[in-house]
Amino acid sequence: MKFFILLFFLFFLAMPDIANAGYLDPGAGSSLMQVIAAFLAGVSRFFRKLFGRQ
Amino acid sequence: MIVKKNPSSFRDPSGSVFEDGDFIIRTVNNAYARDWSHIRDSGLLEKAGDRGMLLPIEELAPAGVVDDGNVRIMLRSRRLPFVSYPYEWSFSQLRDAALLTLDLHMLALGHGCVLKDASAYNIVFDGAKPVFIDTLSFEIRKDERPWEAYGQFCRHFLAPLALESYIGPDCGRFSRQWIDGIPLDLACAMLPKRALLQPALLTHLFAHSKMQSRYGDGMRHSDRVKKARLNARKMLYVAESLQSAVSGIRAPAGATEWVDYYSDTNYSAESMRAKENIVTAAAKKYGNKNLALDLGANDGHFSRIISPYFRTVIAADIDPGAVDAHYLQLGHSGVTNILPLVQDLTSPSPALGWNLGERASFLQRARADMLLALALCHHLYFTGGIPFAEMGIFFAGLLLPGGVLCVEFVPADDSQVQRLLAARSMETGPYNIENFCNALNGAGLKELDRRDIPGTKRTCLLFGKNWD
Repeated sequence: MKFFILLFFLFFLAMPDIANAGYLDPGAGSSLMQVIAAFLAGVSRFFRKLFGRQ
Repeated sequence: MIVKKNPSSFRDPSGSVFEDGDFIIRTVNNAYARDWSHIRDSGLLEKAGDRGMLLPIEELAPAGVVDDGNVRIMLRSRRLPFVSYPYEWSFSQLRDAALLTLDLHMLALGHGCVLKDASAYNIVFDGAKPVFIDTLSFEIRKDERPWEAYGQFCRHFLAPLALESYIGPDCGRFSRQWIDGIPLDLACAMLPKRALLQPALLTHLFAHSKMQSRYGDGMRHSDRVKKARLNARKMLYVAESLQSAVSGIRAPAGATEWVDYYSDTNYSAESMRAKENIVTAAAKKYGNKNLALDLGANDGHFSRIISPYFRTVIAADIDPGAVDAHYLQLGHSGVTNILPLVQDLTSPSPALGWNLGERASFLQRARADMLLALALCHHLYFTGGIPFAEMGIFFAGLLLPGGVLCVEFVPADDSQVQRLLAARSMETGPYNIENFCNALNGAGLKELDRRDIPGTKRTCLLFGKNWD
């Protein structure tokens, strides 16, 4: 799990920023982030169930 | 019926908020009527009410409030004696408000609804208990779209909690600068790198901020964003993940300046008892009223003493650590009418928001029947540089007509004042009780009583506003 989180971290660090601040809609990134967060939470839940921690 | 529109309710197309004496009235507009019927009939509000998450509401026929033909229903609820704001809460208060918001969101999901916004201003403290007040924030969940309020939740709750935990409890006041929450890129820039090691913060703050920046250009990414879907189960996963993120943030470490105040005074047990008796007698004589304000309340020792005599006691202190300790203690004590708040009296919360009308200043909200200012004025005078005349104007401004100020004067030769002055070269000549009383008289406060505190050099004074 730690390896997975580290990979996730490296992936985001490597992402380039775009900087048109005046026309940015932070809600767009938040929507997409939730899809990733749901996936991560689902994986974490799966492993917790698998190892009987829930 | 005399009603006043709440100046902060203009953003919501679903309805408006009006103040009507002891009640708050929310109008439900035609556009929101279908959502409201579903929410009311789904049992969501009943369940939330039974769990004490919402103030009880009563549905009324529309009459007398507005006459523009757009109002379908009116909802009436009890008006709380004092509305506080997130930048006045301690860490644990903000954390409890965050968890309440998530609990309601999850409850709503179970009823086919969703919270359309996750503003911390939707939560108000009823005494020391957080309650959700914005009933019109629920709506029917449509199209399996991701939670629109996710970003707002992270800005309003997660970012300030993380900043308080990793940098210090004073970061709670940052929310005063950003009325719609602390921007995530700024929060991430301020947080230390070790915060990245907490997976929940890595996800909901750091990666989230990066995603906002990466996919914020609507022209380039609109198709991808519009196609994003989350079913109710996945929405619950996200909410649970946020819940664990909030619960996993540790309270700020270390003692703050005033958190241990009552073990560091120059009072003997007898002197303290005498002071308690003086304050109790004043509260008994002038109490049985609505609101008392304990300024410089520290851990709320004297707030608890006067609490039986007032509907609500606001216990304000500059030290977020002391306020947090007080709040946590109240959770175990059974006292329900004290609200601890962080407040710097030398720079109280100002009016904020659009046209400076969305959030009222502390002085606009705090109109008290009794003020306690115990062992406070020497700090205002010597540390804050506030002259007696200004203190008089300030106290008089916080009191309702007929209200009473109970103030303790600590003379210049008191050991605690000597301690304050140890490293300063300040002229203490004008700092005396006569000048103090004259200044308060000059501000329209009339001296009602004066009691020396046995075993000390201190004096408790009672002043009344409009007692002539």
